[in-house]
Amino acid sequence: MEQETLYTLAEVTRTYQVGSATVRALSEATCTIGKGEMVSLEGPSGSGKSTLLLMLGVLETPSSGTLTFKGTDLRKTTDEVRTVLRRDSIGYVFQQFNLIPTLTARENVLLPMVPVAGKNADKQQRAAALLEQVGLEHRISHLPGSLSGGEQQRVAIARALANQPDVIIADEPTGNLDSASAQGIMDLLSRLNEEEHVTIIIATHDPAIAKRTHRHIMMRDGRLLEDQATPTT
Amino acid sequence: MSPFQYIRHELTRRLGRTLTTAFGFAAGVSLVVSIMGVASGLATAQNRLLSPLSTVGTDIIVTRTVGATTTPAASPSPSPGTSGAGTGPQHRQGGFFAGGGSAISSLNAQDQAALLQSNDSVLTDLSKLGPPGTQFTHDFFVPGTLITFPSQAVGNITSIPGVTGAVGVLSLQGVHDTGTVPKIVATFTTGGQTQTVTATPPPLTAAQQAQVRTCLFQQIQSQQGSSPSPSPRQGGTNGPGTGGGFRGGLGGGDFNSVLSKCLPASYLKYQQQVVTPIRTVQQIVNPPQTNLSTKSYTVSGVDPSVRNQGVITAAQVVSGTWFTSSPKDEVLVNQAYATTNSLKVGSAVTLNGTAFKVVGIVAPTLTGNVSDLYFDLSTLQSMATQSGRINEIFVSAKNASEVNAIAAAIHTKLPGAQILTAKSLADGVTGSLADAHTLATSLGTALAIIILLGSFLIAILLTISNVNKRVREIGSLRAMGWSRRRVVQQLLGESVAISVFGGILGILLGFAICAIIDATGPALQATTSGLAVGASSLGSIFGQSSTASAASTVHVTAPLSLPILLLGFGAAVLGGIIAGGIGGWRASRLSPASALRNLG
Repeated sequence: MEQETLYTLAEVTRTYQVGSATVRALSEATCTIGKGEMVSLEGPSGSGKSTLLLMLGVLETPSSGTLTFKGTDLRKTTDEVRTVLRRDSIGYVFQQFNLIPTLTARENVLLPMVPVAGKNADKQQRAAALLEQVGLEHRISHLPGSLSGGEQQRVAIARALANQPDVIIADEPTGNLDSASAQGIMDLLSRLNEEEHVTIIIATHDPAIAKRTHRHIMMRDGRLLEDQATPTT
Repeated sequence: MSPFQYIRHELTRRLGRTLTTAFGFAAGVSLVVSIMGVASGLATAQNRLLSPLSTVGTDIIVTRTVGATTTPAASPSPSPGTSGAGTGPQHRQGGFFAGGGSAISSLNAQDQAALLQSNDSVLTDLSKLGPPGTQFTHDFFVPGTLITFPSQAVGNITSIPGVTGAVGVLSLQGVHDTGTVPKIVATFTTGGQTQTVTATPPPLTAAQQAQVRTCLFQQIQSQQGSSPSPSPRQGGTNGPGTGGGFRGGLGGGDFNSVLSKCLPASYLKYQQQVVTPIRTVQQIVNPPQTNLSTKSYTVSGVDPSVRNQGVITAAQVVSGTWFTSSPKDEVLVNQAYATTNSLKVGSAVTLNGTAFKVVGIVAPTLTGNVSDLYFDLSTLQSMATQSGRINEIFVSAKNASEVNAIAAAIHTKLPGAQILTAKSLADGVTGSLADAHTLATSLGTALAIIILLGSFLIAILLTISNVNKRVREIGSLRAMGWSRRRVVQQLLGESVAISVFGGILGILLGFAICAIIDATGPALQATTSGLAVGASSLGSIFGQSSTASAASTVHVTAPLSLPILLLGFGAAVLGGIIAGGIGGWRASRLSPASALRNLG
């Protein structure tokens, strides 16, 4: 089955100015990621996987090279266009969950829907459905502070799904979780990938997590070293 | 969920931060509101004292006060008769307002007469009221320090360009005396002394000698011939030892009597004794020592046909009516005086046997120039024997910018006029009220600004610290597709909502502070200079206090008007906008990547 291409990277380089020195965080990365893939970015700290993840999350733009997302050359976009791309096509899951502590689980899930037109009742219903999907129907009105780490991350995943994104970008999604919760989150992400065909890109240095994905991109010193697919069983 | 719900949750679920910031705003607003309330209260109090002219449709008050004129007399010789009927250039020659440095010597003759008459009242010689012991009740009217002048001056002012109206008023101090005519202190007789005058007469002229000779001859002839029996007086006085019978010749007293008949008149006169006529004179050597009781009050005579301008206006009638078409026996009574003396509309006020009907109770606003009773002008003039004379003119100008020019024109037309404008009246106010008002407006404004800036600064710092704490949250919002604008709106909305809450809280606190100020009401004194009807020298004879003292006590109030509240509230909201704007601006500069930056 021919996969629809989601990302195309051609010699994507990203440099940062740190004082007088120029740090090359990503060097001439070239690859494509298709729709519905479940990819892990692996490598030690400072290998450039976070930088690549920011690029794929349309939160950063390349210093040189070409990065297209859904056919859009991101280097030629304005902040407004990228904002809309993030809103409609990308969901984020952070290591620290990054839930708004003053909002309930449902309100947090509603947050990405605020800039989108639509009836409030429909949004409420969708938020409740999403929370049910991640197994938190009994935690709808809880504030993040009263939820466990695993539950908070489930709320974060429900939030990431709010606007039916093409891709979920997850940066160490299980980094703050015990292994049981971590496996629960990976189960959820795998199920979304299989059932909803949501592209999942996970940055991790935990081999146990990486093992759950179908494609492994190994990184070191800002370069893509290895790109291998795990044969689907 | 709407952004408002997010704002609401952000505020209610971070209550500590919200309250801290809101109380910062509230403290600022309440202090500003109460400072402005006090300043406004003082300004109102001062305005009532300082700029009262506008309330009586007047821009300028023209008076004439002894010693108050500084212009030297243009023509120091007073010419009688010109003052009353004079017009035009005659005024310069001791006209209505004879110039002069001070005192009576520079007044014109009619003024002198008027002043002497008013001071030569029966008040100085109570014996004119009847024999000692007579019970009397009498009202005297004295001009006090406001010298009267002929009412024709009104016409002169009316003719000045820019003057829309001028009305004359006669304000006097009334002294109501009751008691008994005191015993005269001293009665003594003068005259009756006999004095002998000795003088050497000049020698007789030849003609006189011949005349005397002829006279003597005739006298002797007539005595010897036609008068055989001498008069008893002559006989009786011819001395002892002359015996009876007629001895003939001229001798003794007989000759003297004959001689006295024949001497010229001038010789006889020199020999007469001078006797001064006997007179009995009564004189008061001390001020009357009696059971005299004195009540002092102020009266004004106003033109009943002028309802909207002058020392009292129809608008100031609080109950009853203005003068009717027959004002002769009507009187308007000051509210305060009416309360003290239990007078109300329909009551009667009797002055020197005439009953006046109280037609209206008035609440005059012109501090320092408030009378207790207001009569028809001509009635008061005749009652006070001040016919045709007034001592104040209330002038209105077409517009305020012309006031100075009109004042100058009045000075030219009526030299020696004392001119009082709203500004000069305001400048003349001293005392703790003026000090407090200055303090409230200058220091108070500075303080209010400092407090506001302080509370703004606190709010800004708290908002910035809040933004810094929420970097990750803001980054997440940006990552999930919130635009910069939406993030700024969110932070601004939170900040403004807090400031609104703080503003309301501040207004409530301000109300409480102002209520406390109103309840305690510290008293302040204000002294208005420039207009004082009382304080006459005659009043001081009886040691009475000057009734028209222009010192007023004002209790500090802090009235809160809607503009003040809106201003305080607006200041808080402005602070909220500034704080939220700065916080939002900082947030909008954050890269959305910062939400993910925590990982290497």
